[in-house]
Amino acid sequence: MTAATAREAGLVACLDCHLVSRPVEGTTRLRCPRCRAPLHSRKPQMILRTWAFLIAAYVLYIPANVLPVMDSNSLFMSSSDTILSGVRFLWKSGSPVTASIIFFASILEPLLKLVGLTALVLAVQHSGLRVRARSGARVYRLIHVVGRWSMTDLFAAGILAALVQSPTLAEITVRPGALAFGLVVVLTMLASLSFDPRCLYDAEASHG
Amino acid sequence: MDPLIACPECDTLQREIALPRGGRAECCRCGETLYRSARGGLSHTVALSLAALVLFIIANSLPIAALDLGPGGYTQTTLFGTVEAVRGQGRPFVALMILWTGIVAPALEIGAMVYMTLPLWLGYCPHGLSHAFRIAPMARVWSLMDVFMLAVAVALVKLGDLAHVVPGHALFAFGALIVLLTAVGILFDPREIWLHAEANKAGRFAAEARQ
Repeated sequence: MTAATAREAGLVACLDCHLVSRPVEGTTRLRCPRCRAPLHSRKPQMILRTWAFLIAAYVLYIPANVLPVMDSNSLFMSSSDTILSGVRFLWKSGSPVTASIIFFASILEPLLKLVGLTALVLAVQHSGLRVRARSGARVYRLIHVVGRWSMTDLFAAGILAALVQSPTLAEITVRPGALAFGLVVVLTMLASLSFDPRCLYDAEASHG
Repeated sequence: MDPLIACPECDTLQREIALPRGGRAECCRCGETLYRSARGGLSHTVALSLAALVLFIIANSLPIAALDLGPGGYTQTTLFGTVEAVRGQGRPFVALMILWTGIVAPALEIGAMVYMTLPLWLGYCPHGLSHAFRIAPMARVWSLMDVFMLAVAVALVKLGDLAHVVPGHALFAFGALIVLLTAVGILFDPREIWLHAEANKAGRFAAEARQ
């Protein structure tokens, strides 16, 4: 299949309104003539930006899993929970379904997302890896769909903190781990937004 | 001649052809959906967006969950109450993340949809249409209301042994809202916005010329 791309034809497609237009010669900041969105043939500094967000997310992934996310104090007991110990508690207290949801959404999914995006950037940087662009694009789409669910545990901690706040009986407080964790989710979302799947096809085409 | 379209995923140029109602055009190279033919047209999107706006207000005014402590008392919280509580515990950034993904982003998404579609449907071309057009998809990426629903369920399970937890009425509104916004996503055809905008502008010029 050797159909021409917009870039090969000297055209730029708007990612917002999908209008294909011919850029005006000599303009530095191109804008879509219809919806005024900034126009780029490929997302700007794609590799640099994606790596920056990914590295920051990898670094924060450690405190997000090591530091406690939530403290619960009551007259009878007091505990400090990381995400993993929260999962273990749920599993032992007879809620295996909820425990599995949190395990996948909070621990496995951010990691898979980070590894997946890293593989995609490497595939663009090294066209010699011969990654099939179509499979790469499929991975990218999947990352985009499932990525959002990682926020579940952070929201749950917030709801619990709002509900249980009578110091005499019991109190639940949100701890620093929640911040690191939320930042991991936001950073991986930014990383996947700065990645441009069109570059996968460019890399494939450049290698023949 | 049919207009050109470039696949957002692989940049392949293709000609845009007319589709039967409810049809879907796929990229010839990578198989990504290029565009759909809107099933219902603009009136459906207007109706759904307005309904979403009403539900959004209800969902944010009613409690999402309540805690029955027996003689000890009764506490309840709204979505915004969650933000307040987290902020009050000295976690402003975590509170900001909940505020942005749970309240502000969904509000922007719904607001932008109503702002675009209602005037266009009434025959006007709203001021700053291009801004609203770009805000809507950006806000959709960050709007995590469905995730919030799951979080309420998780919180209820976690508290299960400690106290009697009552799911709040807002949850019904949230559930309906998520269904509505998904429907808007499926029924909404962005190309229609520009078709209507151009038609409305042309119509007004024609009317002014007649006077």
